[in-house]
Amino acid sequence: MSDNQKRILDMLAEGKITADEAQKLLAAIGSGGDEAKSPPPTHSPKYLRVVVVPNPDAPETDDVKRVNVRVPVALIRAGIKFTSLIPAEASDQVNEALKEKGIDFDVRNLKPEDLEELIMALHDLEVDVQHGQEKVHVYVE
Amino acid sequence: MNCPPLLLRLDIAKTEKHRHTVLWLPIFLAWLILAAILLAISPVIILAALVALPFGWARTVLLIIPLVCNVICNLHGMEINIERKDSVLFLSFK
Repeated sequence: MSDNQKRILDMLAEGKITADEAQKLLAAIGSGGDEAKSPPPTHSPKYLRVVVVPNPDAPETDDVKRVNVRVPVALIRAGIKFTSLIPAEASDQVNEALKEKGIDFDVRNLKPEDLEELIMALHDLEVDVQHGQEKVHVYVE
Repeated sequence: MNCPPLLLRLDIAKTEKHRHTVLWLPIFLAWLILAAILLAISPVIILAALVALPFGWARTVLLIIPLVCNVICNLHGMEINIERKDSVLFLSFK
């Protein structure tokens, strides 16, 4: 029995909460616990998918475009390795340019060792942007 | 290292004229030509790396070719599909 469950039962025994409230709290803790216990994805994502479809909320036009791009994650991995080519002086310039754009990031921190962790984290990535005539959906599969 | 894509499938469809073209391009031939060119210019690359050494660019000159090859080898499975009102373009590296 977890601490939270024990605390709820104590509160019930002390009469601070009713049986119904205790049941609801226990159910909430149970569902939260299950989510926390769900195992992290073991397999690495294979593809990054970028889908552009017409925005259903936008008024219909003749210039309808649909784009569907599937990028292998291995290709992204290979691309990130290009950062090792950036000489120190160029890195400073890139960092300055990023800072000007409001991005406080040091490209020298992007190391191949961190790559796998970064790619595994892509599992949680899902971007939905609805702007003007288009709706963009980015996800991994 | 993965094997580079050997074929490029190119689909072009014109909905107005009901024309559909499918091309299977043997891009492995391009890789063969590229490999031969790289082999031929390898002494020049080494020389360029030696010249770039005092400026700190030697590593970049030497590593750029293996990294580009790595990108080419990982093109497998790349797909691009663009649909417009009157035409469809589909590219796939096989």
